[in-house]
Amino acid sequence: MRTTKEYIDSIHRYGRFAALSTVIAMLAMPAVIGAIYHVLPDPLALLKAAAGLLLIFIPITVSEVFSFTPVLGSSIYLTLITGNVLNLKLPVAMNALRIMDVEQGSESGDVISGIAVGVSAIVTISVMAIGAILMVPLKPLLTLPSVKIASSYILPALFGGFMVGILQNEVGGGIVIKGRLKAAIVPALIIAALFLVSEKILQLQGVLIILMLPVTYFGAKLMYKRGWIKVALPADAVLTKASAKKK
Amino acid sequence: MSFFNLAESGAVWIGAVSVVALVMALAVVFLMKSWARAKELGYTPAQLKNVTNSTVSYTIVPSIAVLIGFFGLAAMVGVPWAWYRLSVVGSVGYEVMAADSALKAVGTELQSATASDFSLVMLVMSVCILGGLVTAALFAKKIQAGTMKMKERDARWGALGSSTFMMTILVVFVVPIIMKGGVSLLTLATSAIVTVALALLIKVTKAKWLTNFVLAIALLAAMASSVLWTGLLK
Repeated sequence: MRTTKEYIDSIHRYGRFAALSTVIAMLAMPAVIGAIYHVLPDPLALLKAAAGLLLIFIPITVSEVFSFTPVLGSSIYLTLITGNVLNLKLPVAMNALRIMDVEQGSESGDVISGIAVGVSAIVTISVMAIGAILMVPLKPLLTLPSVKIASSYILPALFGGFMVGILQNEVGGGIVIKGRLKAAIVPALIIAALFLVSEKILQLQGVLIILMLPVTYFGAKLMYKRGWIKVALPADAVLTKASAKKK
Repeated sequence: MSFFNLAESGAVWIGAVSVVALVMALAVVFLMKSWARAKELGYTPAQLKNVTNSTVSYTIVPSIAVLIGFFGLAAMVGVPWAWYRLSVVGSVGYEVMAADSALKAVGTELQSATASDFSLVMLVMSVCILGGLVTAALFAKKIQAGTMKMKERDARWGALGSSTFMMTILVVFVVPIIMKGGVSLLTLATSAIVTVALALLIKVTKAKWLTNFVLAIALLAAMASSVLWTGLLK
C-alpha cells in the first residue's frame, strides 16, 4: 500500500495537471473560435473590459483556495474546476465527512471529500446537460415564481443544517472539542459590526473569510493554550474507560 | 455576423461540448483515484456506496437551482456558452455578473451587438475566473501539507485548528443571515430545526440509513418553507 505522502503527492500531481489543462482549454476555446471567425478583440479592449472584474475576482478566487483547501484537501482542484463551490461542492464534502464520521484535514477526510466532490461534479454536469437539452419543456416549470423564490434562499437552507454541526462538540474521527464556539465570538462580532456599517461590504465574502481566518485561528489557539477550549482524542476515551475499570 | 449568430453557432457548441467532456473525464479519473485510495485505507464498498448515494441526493436540488440561473444566463449569452460556463469553473452569481459587466463594456444593446462583441464577452468571462485555478496549482499542496503537519505536531491543536476554517466560513455567511432577519433567517432556522428533528428521529428509530439524507431533506424542506415565509411576511 502507498504511504500517505506518496498518495498526497500523486493526487496533487494529478490535481495540478487537471487545473492547468482546464486553464488552457478555457483560454483556447474562445481564442480559437474568435480566430476562426476573425473576430478576436483588440488586447487593449479586452484588458479594459476585464479590468474591473479582475479587481473583484482575483482576491475572491485566491482567498477561496486558502480558505477551502484545509477543508477540502486535494479536492480543491476539482472543486474549482467544476465551480459552484459554496452552494454545492463545499456542502457535499462536509456532508460526506459527517456521515463517515471522519476528521477534516486527515488523509481519510481528503479521500472521502474527493469521492463526494467527484460524484457531485459528475451529477451536476449531467443535470446541466439534461437541462440544456430539455430547455424548452423545463423552462416554464423551473421559472415558476415559487421555484424561483425557493432557489433564491438556497444558501440559508444549506447553512442551517451545517450550523447544527458546528454547535456540536463532535468533529469527526471520534474527536470531541468542548467550547470551540468561543473562538467564533470575536469574528461574529466583527461581521455583525460590518453588517451594521454597510450590508454591501458583506458581498466580498471571499475577502472577509481570509480576513477573519487569522482572527478565528489565533483566537482558538490562545483559548486552547489557556484551557478555555478542550480537545479530547479517541485514545483519551479509551484510557478513561480503562482507568475507571481498574478502580 | 450578429452576437447571437456566433453565440448559437456550431463552433461554440463544439467548443462547449469539448471542454465539458474534458472536465467530465477529469472528474471521473479523480473519483476513481479517490475511490481506489479509500479501498486501500480499508473502507468497504458498502460504506463508499453510502457516501455516493448521500452525495447524489444532496447534489440534485442545488443543481436544479443552478439550472434556473442557466435560463437567465442563456438569454444573455446564448445556450451553449451559458451551459458551458455553469458546468466549468463558474457559479451562477459570478457568471451573470461577468456577462453583465462584459456586455456593458461592449457598450451596445444586445439586439445590435456583433460577433466581435460576443468574442470579447467570451474572453472576458474566461480570463477573469482563472485566479483560483492558478493559485491552487501553485499553493494547494503546500497549504494541505501545512494543515497535516499541524496535526502531526499536536493532534489536539491540529483538530481544533482545522475546524477553525469551516467555523470562519459559517460565521461569514450565517451572521449576516441572522442580522438580516426575515425570510432568510426563518429559512435558516427551518433548516436547522429539520436537521435536529431528523437526528432525533434517527436516534429513536435507529434508522441509520436516514443519516445519509438528513442534509438533503433539510435543504428541500427549508427551501420549500421559504415560499411559505415569503407569503406570510408580505
